[in-house]
Amino acid sequence: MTWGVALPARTGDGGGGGRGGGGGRGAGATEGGARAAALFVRALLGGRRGQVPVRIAPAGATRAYGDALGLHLPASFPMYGSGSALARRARFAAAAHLAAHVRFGDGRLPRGGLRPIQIVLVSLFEDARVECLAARELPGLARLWAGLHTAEPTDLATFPALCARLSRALLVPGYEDPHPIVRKARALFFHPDHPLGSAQGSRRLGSLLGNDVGQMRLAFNAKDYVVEPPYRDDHRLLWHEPSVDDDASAPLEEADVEERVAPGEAPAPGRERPEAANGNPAGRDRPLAGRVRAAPPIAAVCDETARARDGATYPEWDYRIGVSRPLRHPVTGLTRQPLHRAPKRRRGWQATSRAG
Amino acid sequence: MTRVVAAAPASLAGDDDGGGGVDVGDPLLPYRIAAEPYYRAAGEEIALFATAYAARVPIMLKGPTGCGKTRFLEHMAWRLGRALVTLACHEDLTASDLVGRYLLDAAGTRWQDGPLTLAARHGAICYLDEVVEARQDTSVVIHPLTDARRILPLEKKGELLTAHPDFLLVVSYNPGYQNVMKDLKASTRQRFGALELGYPPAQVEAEIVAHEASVDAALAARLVELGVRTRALKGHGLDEGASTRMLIHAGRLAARGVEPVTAARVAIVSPLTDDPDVGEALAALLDACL
Repeated sequence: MTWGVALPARTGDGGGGGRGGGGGRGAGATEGGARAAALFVRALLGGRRGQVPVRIAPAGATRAYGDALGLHLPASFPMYGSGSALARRARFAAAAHLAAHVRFGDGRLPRGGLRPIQIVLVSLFEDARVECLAARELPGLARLWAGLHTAEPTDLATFPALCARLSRALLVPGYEDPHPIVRKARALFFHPDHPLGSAQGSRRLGSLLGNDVGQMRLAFNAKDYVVEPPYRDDHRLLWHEPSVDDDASAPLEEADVEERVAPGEAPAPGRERPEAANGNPAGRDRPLAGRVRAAPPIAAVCDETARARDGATYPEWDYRIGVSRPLRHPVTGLTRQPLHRAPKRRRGWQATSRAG
Repeated sequence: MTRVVAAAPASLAGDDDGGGGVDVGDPLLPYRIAAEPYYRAAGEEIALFATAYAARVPIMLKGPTGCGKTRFLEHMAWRLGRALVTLACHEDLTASDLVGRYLLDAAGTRWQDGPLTLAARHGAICYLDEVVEARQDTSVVIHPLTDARRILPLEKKGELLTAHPDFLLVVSYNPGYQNVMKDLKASTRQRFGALELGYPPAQVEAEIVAHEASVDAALAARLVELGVRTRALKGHGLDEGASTRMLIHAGRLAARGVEPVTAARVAIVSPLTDDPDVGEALAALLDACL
């Protein structure tokens, strides 16, 4: 179900909403509150960037995402309970977060030679950047998002937990965290010389911090990694899909990333690294970049959402009545980025034209 | 039923000769504006209107509800030193409500000028607010007053009234929500020059809200931020976004001690819609803005 390009007219709605806002709750109105979220996105964007379709993500998707078809919100946030106030808050927070990417995003970023950890951190800084700019316009958004950040300094010393703490530290001014990485990230992000106006600053900080985090030998499995807190999107909106150039420029090894363990923690039985067998147990004398193989795109680690992207169905635009309708003839649309590096321009709704 | 903004002057009650025989002083006195109405111009509308008045070109004020059309005209009437006779049009408005009628009293029958006749006879600005709400046959009455003839035939009275040199007819309408049945006829539309008065730029609108509601600039700016974003929902759940008038109402409640969020909910969000989804979106927007 799509809300956004042309919100489906209600019965007696006349296409413009009931006069005086009247009209009962329509058939689609209960679908995870997607219509309300779509309206929220539209109001937040204030007509900028054209009309952005807002859709319900396929069942199983636990994170919001954006692609050429529009913005996709999870049907539910089961971690907050079905229909709870917190789940409703998460839906609007996710919608606002995606709207912030649309409003302040800097186009898709090339992956270049970034390692998966760096991609995660660049994405994290980019999340913080667009949220910071959005909250400058509408301070209430910071409150909306901050209420969903629950990371604490006492959380387990894992890479996902550290990312959650970083995310909170970059959004919530009153959050105190003594972790040196968190303190450094905060100092860098809020430094007057840090350019909030473009994603280049995020890329620089993510690359920089990625080296520090890499030295910590924290366990990181790119396939299992999901963004926290749950209102944040899966970052596929941020990155160009891997291209031939990227592959050539980033001969990375994934295996070491998956098998890396925290300091003092023994590798799983039977999964010792080759270096250990060769008398180089930690492999610390090797450059980090040389030990990481290209991971699948962080944005594509969720199989459900990847399937959704591959098998997207398009609504049918009926020009006579001016609305999008469910397809009468089943068609599956396959969306693919070209393998060559595409020129930096927006596609679909990102080019302010109608998608689907 | 004819609704005139100011009560008809008592002196007119005995004006049985059409306002020309008995000296009742200034029959337009109740319609004169003593103090300057606050109006913050957003463009060159003041100069344009003054020029149109000098040329006696009838004017149509176009714009969404609550954007300041009436206030602008009040300001211009004060600025030009003219009385302002305002008539809020509605679908039961008849030609007699506009031009006048014979009334029966103890002394017999007497002619009572309608607001249009009153303005035309004595040289006021006559303002027909939301003119498309009036029946189309009614609006035809204004045709002779809005071309070179500048006359008003009073058929029942057997009088052909020539408009006072100071008379000007002004109409307003909101082109946003009328259906085709209520649009202005071309023969009416083409008698007017049109000034389009949209919502002012955000900074100017915040200035207006701060002045009219007596709230600080920061709160006014936040209210305007909310208002501007609701306007993005026009045609998508809302017929119109929040008007400047609504923002001022919210500000006035806040100025009297109501929490700004509550004030905005009462004055802006709740009146705008009964649709649960739109209401939920607006509530989230309200929390984001304030």
